[in-house]
Amino acid sequence: MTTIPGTPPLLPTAKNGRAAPGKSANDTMSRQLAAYAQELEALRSLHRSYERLLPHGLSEGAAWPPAPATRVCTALFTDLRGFSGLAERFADEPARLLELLNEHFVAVVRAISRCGGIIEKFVGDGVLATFGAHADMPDHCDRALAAALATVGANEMVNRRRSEAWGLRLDVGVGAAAGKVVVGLIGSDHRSEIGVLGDAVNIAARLVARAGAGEALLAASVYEHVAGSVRAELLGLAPIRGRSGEVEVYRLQLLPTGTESSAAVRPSPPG
Amino acid sequence: MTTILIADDEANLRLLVSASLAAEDCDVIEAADGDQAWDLILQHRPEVAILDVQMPGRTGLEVTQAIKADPALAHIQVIILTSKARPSDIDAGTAVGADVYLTKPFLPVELLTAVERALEGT
Repeated sequence: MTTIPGTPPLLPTAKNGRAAPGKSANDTMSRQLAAYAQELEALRSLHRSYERLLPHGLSEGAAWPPAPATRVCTALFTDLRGFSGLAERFADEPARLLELLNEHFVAVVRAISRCGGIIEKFVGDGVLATFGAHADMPDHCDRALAAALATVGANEMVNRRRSEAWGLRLDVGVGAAAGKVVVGLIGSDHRSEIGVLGDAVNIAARLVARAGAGEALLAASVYEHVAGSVRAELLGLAPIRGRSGEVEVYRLQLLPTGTESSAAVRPSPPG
Repeated sequence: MTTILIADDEANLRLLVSASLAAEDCDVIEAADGDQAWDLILQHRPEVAILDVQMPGRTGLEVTQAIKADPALAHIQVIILTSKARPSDIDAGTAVGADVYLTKPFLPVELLTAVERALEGT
């Protein structure tokens, strides 16, 4: 019989030498069943928590530890504009800041997931998602672009519902780049996590830092695959901090001008 | 809730159009060809229909003409979204009663604005 450590066996057996069930034995069995059900629920709860902590799609049937896998994918970063100012505004009410941020994240995660993206991690007030890093996805650029559109739109929906009550807007920018990445365990035996590394991830991170409110900045590696569907403005070749080669960057304005907050701060380009 | 129909035979285009409308509090229904679009229009009576022109089955222009010819459906705002961009193509769209004519590749913000204006008109 398989038992959970710390849980007594359910039924009397020849091995445990208990008597056949009478009234008191039935009571004992009921208590044991209740204890077993409690243990089972605790295990299920642990499993649910574990699933939430892993990038979606990795929890079922995946070998552990996962072997490093290299694929061509699109990396997408989102980032709230002017978040430092918001944090300052809620300096005495950080719990309120968390509440606002999570309302934004609920919308963003849903938008990205619906387009087939995998949320890799939350980075402060932003999200890193990948399309095609964990399994082949031939249309990863289209899906990432759709996720960029949906992210800005879903955030706008949050603003339309909540900005009056909040007395502020949340403005989001997006950056995306495509290229080869490796997915694997990063860290040590003591502490590790599944991570995604590659030039595309770094480029996307740099682009999101430059994106204004309601904008997506796309590297040419993404835009050249979607140019037949969506029109974007060529910004030209841009240097990427810490990288020798320049990247051709396209800008997509995703909301009508004037929608973004006047308080939103557009970060200056990195030097 | 407002319903918007998107009819295009390219799944990724439908995804992009649908994603462009994420700011709208609406149900989006999708059709992969003109005949399915017509069936969904009869079934759901959407407020806005975004139609490609070249699709299997009925073309977007034929669907538009059928919408505008039916008094029970004529209020539906039709946005044509197509790669056919010659002036004669645009004239053909206007002739069958399309309310807005947009060309691919499209500007997401332009589509969103067109849909919001169309919804104001319903």
